[in-house]
Amino acid sequence: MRWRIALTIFRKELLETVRDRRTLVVMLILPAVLYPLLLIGFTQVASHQVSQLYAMEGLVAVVGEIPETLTEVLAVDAEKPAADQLNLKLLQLEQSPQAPETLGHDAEDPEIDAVTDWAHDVLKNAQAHVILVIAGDSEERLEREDTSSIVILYDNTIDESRAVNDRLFTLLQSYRKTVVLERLAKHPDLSEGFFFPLRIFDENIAPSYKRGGYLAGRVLPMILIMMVLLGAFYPAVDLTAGEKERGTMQTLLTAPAQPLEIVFGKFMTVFCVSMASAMANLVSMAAAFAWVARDLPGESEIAFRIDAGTIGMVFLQLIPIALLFAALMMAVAVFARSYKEAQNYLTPVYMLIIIPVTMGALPGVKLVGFTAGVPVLNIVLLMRDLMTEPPRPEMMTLVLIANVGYSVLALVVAVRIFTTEQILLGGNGGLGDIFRMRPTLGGVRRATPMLSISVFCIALVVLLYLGTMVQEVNLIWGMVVTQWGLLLAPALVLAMALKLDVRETFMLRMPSMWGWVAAIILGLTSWAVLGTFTSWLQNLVLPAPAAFEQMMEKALGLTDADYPDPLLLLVFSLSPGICEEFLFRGLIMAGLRPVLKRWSTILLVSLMFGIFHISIYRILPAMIVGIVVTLVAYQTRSIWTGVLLHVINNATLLMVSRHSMLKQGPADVPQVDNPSFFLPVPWQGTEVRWPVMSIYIVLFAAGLIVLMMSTRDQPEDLDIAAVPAESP
Amino acid sequence: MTETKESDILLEAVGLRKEYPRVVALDHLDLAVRAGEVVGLLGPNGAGKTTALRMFASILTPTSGRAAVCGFDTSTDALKAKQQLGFLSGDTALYKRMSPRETLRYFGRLHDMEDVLIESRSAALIERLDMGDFADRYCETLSTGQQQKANIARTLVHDPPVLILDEPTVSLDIVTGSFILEAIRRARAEGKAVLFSTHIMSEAEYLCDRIVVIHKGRVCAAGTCDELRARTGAVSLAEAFLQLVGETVDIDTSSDNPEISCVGE
Repeated sequence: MRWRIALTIFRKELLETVRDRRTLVVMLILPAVLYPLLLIGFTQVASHQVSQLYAMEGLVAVVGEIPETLTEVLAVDAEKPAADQLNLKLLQLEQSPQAPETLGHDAEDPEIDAVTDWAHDVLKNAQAHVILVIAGDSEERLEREDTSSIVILYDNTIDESRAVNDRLFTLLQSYRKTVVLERLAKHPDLSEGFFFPLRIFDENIAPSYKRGGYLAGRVLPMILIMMVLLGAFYPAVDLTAGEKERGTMQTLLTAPAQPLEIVFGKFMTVFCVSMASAMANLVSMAAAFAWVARDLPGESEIAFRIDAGTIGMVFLQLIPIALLFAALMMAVAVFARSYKEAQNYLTPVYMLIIIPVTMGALPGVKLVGFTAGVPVLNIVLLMRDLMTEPPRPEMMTLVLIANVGYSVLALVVAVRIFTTEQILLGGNGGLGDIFRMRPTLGGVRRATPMLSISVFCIALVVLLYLGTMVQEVNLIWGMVVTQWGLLLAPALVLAMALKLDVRETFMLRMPSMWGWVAAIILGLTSWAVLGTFTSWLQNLVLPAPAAFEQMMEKALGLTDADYPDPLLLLVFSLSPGICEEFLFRGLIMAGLRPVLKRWSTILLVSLMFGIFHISIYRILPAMIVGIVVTLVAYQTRSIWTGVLLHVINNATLLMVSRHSMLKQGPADVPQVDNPSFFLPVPWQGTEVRWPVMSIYIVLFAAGLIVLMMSTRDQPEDLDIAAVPAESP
Repeated sequence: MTETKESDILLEAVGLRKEYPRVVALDHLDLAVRAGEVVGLLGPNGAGKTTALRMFASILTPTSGRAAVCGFDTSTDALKAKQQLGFLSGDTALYKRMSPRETLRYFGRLHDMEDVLIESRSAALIERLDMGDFADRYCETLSTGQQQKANIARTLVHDPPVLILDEPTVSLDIVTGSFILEAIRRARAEGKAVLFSTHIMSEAEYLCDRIVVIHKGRVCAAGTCDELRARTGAVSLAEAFLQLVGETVDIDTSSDNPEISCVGE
């Protein structure tokens, strides 16, 4: 690459971008106006609402007799200065139901249910804000110095109801204290401390910047990331699809500049605009917050740390993420032939990025080793930390390294795409071809990538809703119905309805003898090798909670001695072995094989297979097993090796776990001292028994070698070669 | 026609072929253009003209065969080949928010020219093409004719020995169209090799020293205008062309451009 040329392109692209008023508006003017307006407007509206809420008279519908003492307490409250008043009014509505004669220890009391329906109506019709239920025996209980229960019914989703509930609660506390003091008067031998043994204070000691940072840390990173994304969006589309649409792409391609120089020049432009946009947003946001904080009295919740140092660190961390977005957006947008098409292609990318952004706002999601490796999520969490915690250099480094890695990867992909001639010229071979649903190619009806992706999405949704529903009715037979009825049958029907070449789609050909041998060896050893490896990896990355493991054990019938082995084998080994294979290594892989390289196909199919297991704790194990199964089916060009491997793997894993568990007995019985010799890891232990394990590893490797040796003569792109080229 | 020698060949194709997954766009094209010669590539829509020209310009890579500009292979030595080349087509638009002068500077730099040279060369082209009035206005504000002048200047800024023009007059009015044809004649006089594609027969008759007719990706005839007419016994090139491609095809045989059509060789 000649830097002089790349810089020439960069300078020109930047100049032209800056001259575009749309970019300037999005980049600078929008953030400059947006934050002050949003924040100041929002604060004013919010404080107006809050003051309205306080000024409002709280209406309390009372069910039952209003105790005299309560009325007195209320009267005392009414004499306080207006600002300190609870401002409540007790009502007795006309159609008020009969109060329960007595109430138990909690609000779950069945007697309350009768009142609840009526209470819903009262709240809905705004006749009162909360309902206070006082049992019929209340007065009498208090008289004989017993405990009486009072229940407040309110609706947490109605702001007024929530606010009045808080006020009523305060009032009832005064009421309770009054009652206690009355009792004390009758018992001179008892001190006040007898009734109030503890005074509990809780004080939020978080410094104000941290409190503010906690709030801001949840909102600001999201907005910033979205703005970096938006900042990259316009130039990325403009410099790729926009250039094609305007016809300047070809002009540029006739000049003696290498694709790498062109990509680099454009990429740097998108990156700079995106960073400038982020910076403008950051500065405007900080200024607006400072302005609002200035207006608020004393120790404000909004005061938060967004000083020069924080801005600097956030800026530094934004660099790799802007690089990543720039490369990603350009790599996708370059497929499009027009502005509009590019916007269509980028919408899913946008949505994909929003997922980790919103995940960052979930409670309990923290910046740890694992989350530091998740792109976008890591930066959201890191920014949140920077606003509340002292900086953690090791995490900052980790996030930086991870994001630099991702951005380099995205850039490499972008360069590869850019150097594909048809894509740059906007002719054939763009994304449009991949999105075609009509599965015809060279006279043979074939599945397309779009079909594969659609089938996967539909199967996922079906599994999620219908599958769960039937499995709730009966776990074991629900599984069978899901596998055969909801996954296999629709896949076969769809293939026939689309008149696909069934033999080719489902790879219904017999493998060679060595193919069979490889599948059997791998099937018999994968549970030990991959099972140990994946559980080690899973513990490292995202350890599954014990509750999840127990749920899985129960779901698989592992600990239930009543289930006969053959039944479990049918349900969890044979059924998935056949049905999932036809779906994944059959229909889904068929659409991807012709357009992707071998390993891209295998990894994508396995990833889908992992996701299909609908649990964040099962994606990784299922995906890793999926890679081996997909590899075997792909190499042998036969679904049957995949089926065999899948069945054997599930069967061995199931039987080994089940029998180890049954032998071990309930948790409180001491562990069996003498675990079976063939277990590579003692059951529920962690120490790997390497002599045993190495035998499995050697056999597993032998299986892979047999597989690759027996299929090495296969042309890699058999599927494409099999299709005759159409004449013009 | 200027006298030429074998050693003057500036643009050459040998067995040039381009395949797409479902189409063979161009098959076995042999072609040579010498210095001071204008060769016309004629063919109906979709004949493979643009594919051929894009391979000469290193925008597309040939599936087999080779193309060379001034002896530089267009796929293995693409940068050097592009340095020797000026490419203009109906699709090569200009940057809207840059002035013609900035455009010339940009492309001059992409051709790795010294800034001093770029400035003097731009000034000369602006003067010669009478662009002084609009050389510093954004291209988006220019008329089609002005844009096309700027585009020609862009093609010539690095003074390339070879010009490739892909239907350069398409969608232009008579005045601008003839302006371009004049530019081509001038380039020939300066000793440049010009390969240009068109489906306007009158243009080809007016300009070309030799004509190569391609149809469905294959060369179906080659020779001077007179040779083609003589071979087919046709009166006009348009008639000859129709006979050569052997079917009714979508070509522009109209003579609505009298200034051009009345001028013969």
